[in-house]
Amino acid sequence: MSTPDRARGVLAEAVSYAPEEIPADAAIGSFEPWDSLAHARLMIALETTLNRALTADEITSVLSLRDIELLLDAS
Amino acid sequence: MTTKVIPTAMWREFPNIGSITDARSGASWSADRLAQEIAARQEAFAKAAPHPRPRVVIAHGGTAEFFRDLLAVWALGGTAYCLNTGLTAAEIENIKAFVRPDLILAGTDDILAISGAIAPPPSRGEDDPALVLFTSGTTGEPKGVVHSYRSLQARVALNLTYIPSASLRRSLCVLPTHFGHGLIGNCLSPLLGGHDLYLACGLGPMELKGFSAMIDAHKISFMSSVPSFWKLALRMSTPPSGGTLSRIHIGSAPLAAKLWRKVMAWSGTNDVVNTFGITETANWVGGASAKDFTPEDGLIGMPWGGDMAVLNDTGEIMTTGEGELLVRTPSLMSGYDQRPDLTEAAFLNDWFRTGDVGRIDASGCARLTGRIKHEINRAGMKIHPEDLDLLFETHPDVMEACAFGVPDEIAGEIVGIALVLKPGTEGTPTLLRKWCAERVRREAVPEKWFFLDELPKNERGKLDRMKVQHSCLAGS
Repeated sequence: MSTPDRARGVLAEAVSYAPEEIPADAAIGSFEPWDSLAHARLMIALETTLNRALTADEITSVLSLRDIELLLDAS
Repeated sequence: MTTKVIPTAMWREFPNIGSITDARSGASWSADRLAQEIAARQEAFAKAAPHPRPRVVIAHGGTAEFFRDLLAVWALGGTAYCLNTGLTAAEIENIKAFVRPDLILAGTDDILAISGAIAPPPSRGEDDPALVLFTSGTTGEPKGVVHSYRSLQARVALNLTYIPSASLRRSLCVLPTHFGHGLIGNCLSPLLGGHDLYLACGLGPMELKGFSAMIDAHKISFMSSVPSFWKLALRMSTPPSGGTLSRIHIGSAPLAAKLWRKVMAWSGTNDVVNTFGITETANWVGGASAKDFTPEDGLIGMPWGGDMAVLNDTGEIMTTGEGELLVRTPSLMSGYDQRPDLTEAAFLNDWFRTGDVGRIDASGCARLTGRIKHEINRAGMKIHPEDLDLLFETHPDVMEACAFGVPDEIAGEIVGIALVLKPGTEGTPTLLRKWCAERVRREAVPEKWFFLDELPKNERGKLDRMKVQHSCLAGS
């Protein structure tokens, strides 16, 4: 699976939407379902996917779907 | 700094009030400024309302202006209906038709007088209704918890007795103000006790990075929140360095002992309290501090003014043992607004039935062990599944609907719904979610969708919510 698809899948799971419902420009603050609860779920999902704990900087740097892609790519 | 401000005999028990500061911007209203603002608003309400003791819907929140409006309504001896600011227009219309208020405050500066408002009945003094908080029914018949001036005074006085004054001196609220926990416990108790209140209601995920800096900057000594708040805050914010936090309350949803300990370690105080309270009891009726108890799942400690008992399997009310938890407290609600049927069902003699299952030991210490009520608890916000059943059954493609709680690692529970669609129709979560979001507040919109051929019923043909839930979750 490509990184963009993986990123979309992880975010979709966190916000309880289908992957195809996630807009390409999804970002915290503009994509309504991405609230505090979804963000916490997203952090856990990313840690599970990467099989490691996220650093504080990584946690605060994930603000958009693109950021999720970059994090997955870098790992 | 404190000053005398509440211009009504109703609040003579609390002659002093603190200041209110926006913890994000630092903008502050001193106690004197707040007093002036309340007086001006009181005059404006008296001029706009057709009746004395006006019934006022307050549809904004989380600001100094909200407390100005609430206290101005109370200064007139009126009733404040505090709404969730996330309600849809349809939900507000439903409540407006039910309440028939004198005034609606849609924003911080608007005063809308409503024709056809009901004149208030003769005053019963401190038993007059002061506050109505809606716990469900914003799409059907609303369920509004009514607190009198007497019950609110009792709760605030008890909180000020059971919570050390030194802890409350600089209190931070991150909770919404339409929520009993945030409004009565976290805000009114310190504010009416003459302490200073800092507001950062609805702190967003990105703001949490600066959460400990906010605590340090304002020298926050007290705050309350829900477990899900801490699940994210502990990940996103480094611990505060000022050492000012002296007490933390956590409530409205089950607190795991592991998270309890993590909050203690992060905050640097052992006075982290798992509180028990519901809107009907004007919030906190008891709690267990890690200063006095070893954290354990379900531990809610001793009552803070009042009694707890259990209704056991044989229908006896016992002061020890296991069963449905009952509470008796001076801060109990008067009843549900215009719903004597619901009020009667909620009481057993003078005991309030909480719908929670618990165990009380010989020392009087209580532990929660389960739940009887179907209410969905999404991060402390309560959603009544029956409201969603009724709503979805008005959808043209839906034949039957059954909502229920789905366990969630962060929120505790999220909303799930099982639907039976009419033959020949093709509902999708995307379309149904959009339809629902136009009608109910965001937290009530289902997040998990299940499409079934039929809903399991009991032998009398009645919907069996537990069976629906089990069958959907087993297959997911």
